[in-house]
Amino acid sequence: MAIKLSMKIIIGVVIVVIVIVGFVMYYLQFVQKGPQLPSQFKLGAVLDYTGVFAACAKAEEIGIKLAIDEINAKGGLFGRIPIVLVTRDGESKPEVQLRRFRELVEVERVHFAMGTCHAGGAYSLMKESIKVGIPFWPSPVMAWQAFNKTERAPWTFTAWPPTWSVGYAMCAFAVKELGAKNVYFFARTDAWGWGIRDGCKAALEKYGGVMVGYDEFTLGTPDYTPYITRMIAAKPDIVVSTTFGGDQVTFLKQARELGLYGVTKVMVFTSHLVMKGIPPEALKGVYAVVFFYHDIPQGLVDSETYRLMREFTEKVISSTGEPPDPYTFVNYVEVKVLARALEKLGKIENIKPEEFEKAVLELGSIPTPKGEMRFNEAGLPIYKYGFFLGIGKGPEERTYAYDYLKIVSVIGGEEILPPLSLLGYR
Amino acid sequence: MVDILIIIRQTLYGVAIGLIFALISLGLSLTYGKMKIINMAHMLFYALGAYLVFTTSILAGNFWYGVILSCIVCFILGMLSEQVLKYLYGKTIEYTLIVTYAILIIGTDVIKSVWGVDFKAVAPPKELTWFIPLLGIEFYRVFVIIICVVLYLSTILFMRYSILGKVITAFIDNDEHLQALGINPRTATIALFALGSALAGIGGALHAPLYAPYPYMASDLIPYSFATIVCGGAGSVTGTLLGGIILGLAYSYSGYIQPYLSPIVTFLILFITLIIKPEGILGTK
Repeated sequence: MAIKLSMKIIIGVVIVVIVIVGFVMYYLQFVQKGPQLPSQFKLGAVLDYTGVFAACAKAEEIGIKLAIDEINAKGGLFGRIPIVLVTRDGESKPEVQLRRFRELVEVERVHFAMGTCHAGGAYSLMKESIKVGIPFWPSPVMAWQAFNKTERAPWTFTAWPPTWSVGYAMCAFAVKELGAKNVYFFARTDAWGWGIRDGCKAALEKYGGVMVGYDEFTLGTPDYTPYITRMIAAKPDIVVSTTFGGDQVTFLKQARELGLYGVTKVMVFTSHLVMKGIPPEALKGVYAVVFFYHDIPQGLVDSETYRLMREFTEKVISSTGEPPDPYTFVNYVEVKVLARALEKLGKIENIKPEEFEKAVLELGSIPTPKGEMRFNEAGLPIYKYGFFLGIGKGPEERTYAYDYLKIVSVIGGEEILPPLSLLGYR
Repeated sequence: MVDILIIIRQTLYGVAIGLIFALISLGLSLTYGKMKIINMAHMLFYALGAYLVFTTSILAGNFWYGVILSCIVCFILGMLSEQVLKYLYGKTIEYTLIVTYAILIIGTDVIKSVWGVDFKAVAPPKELTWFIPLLGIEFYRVFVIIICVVLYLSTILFMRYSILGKVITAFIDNDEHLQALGINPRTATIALFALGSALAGIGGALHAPLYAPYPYMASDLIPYSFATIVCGGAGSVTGTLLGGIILGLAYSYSGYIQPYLSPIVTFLILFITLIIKPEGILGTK
């Protein structure tokens, strides 16, 4: 009996010792190191590889991949977690973009998402991101209303100034630089056109311009003759056109053929992607506002910014053979910024919108290929050099294939962003 | 008071667009008027003409090659399309509508896969890009009017004085008499399709520099084409011309007042024509 009791005690002590040793080993192995980070960071992107925005998707992808390559060359996030890009084709349709986004979240289990080429689609994805718990940053220019305090997902930021800023810059240039006070505004019938119009109105109010004419056109209009005839009849100082993409190619071609250039100045917001398709004769003498351009004259920006822009341009040219489009620049910057924000946050999963927002805002001044940038509390970027004004070069003036513009002026700072009071932040 | 130059410009624009409507719609008018086939796929020849001229402009730097190529290719394809569409002879209008619309959709997707989805920019030939003094518009827009008139007159003369043209005219008037003369009506139908398709192709090629070729241009022009036919009178060559010009001018003038009025006014005219004279201005009951 005494022997059986002592055996039981011995067995009990051994079990207790094993349990204690087990706990200690678990603690040393796992708890002290903290929660384990995933072995890779999956970045999802809904890019419109097919459909009307196909060219934009390519430009966005170049920027995203360039940034990922640079981050992974240093080991990835935290120096050890490589970023893996997972894409889906949004087909240039918002309903498809939403479905693909859900696929990325539910099937691919991405940690972060970006995209699309369509502001409306990107807006839907931003709203969906809160429901699915994955941060989302838009790739296209967004309607300024998307950054209203009641609309914006807290973790959503953008490296593109919104449509309001585009319009503000265009009309500020028109009045201040070109002395064109009487503006004929040509708006696309959607948030793109109306957002640019709103910004233009603000600039005209500030600088003493007047909107003497206004017309709206729908996306995909193939014949602008009736509109152009009305513009000619109105004889404004300048026509500010919100055509973009294929519409811009068609509009400028027809504007030239109908003699609009002989009557008034014409101003568009454009990019390398679009200018590639514009016949040189149709671009000659047109005032073009661009967000990023590959051939800025020295002296227009500070020497450091000039160096950064040239460096980025060379990088993209060596990898793609073409200069960077603003879509490439923006998506490159967004990936770089989100990487920094995640490292500041110290985690890549279970991120709360407000904590991510705080991490991004705390980054402060962020280096970009266009100089220093910082975000305001509405998630919008403040660039010292926001937009550039260029004059289109004709075929005889061009010295190389992509020599579209002569850049003559720049505008930037908080002035070109919609006021925070307009966005509900004050 | 509207500037007289604006009126002239709008008139030139309206006549140009109207003549293009007429040229493109002529083949459709004759096949619909005679054979009661609503051939939606006919507009693909218009689109093909535009894209062929775009391609030759890029590859060979020559606009005129594109026009000639459009004519030849669309002529041949027109003949081939008749071989397919002959199975629709005698079928109900609903049936032909569905079949030809399906062909149109297939054709549109073929265009997308070959040429992409972007709008294309086609420059007019350099020798026609000089600006008309006072008017300040490119001469090419006036050239389109001239060439369309020449083509139309040539077609009328062909139909009236050539043997094949007479066969086609006889077929349109009464195919039983044609058969009685020992002439196979299929000769007429093949020629009709080929001629109509070639004209549509040339119309597309001429229109391309004024417009922007894009994949859906064929389907977008269908309502205007049918409006031209119905207003002018299905089966009438002169009626189609008149219908095209009237609608083109209406499109142009109303567009000057407000661009969104163009389609409204155009189809209002169609509506009024159907109420007052359902067979069309020069159509027969």
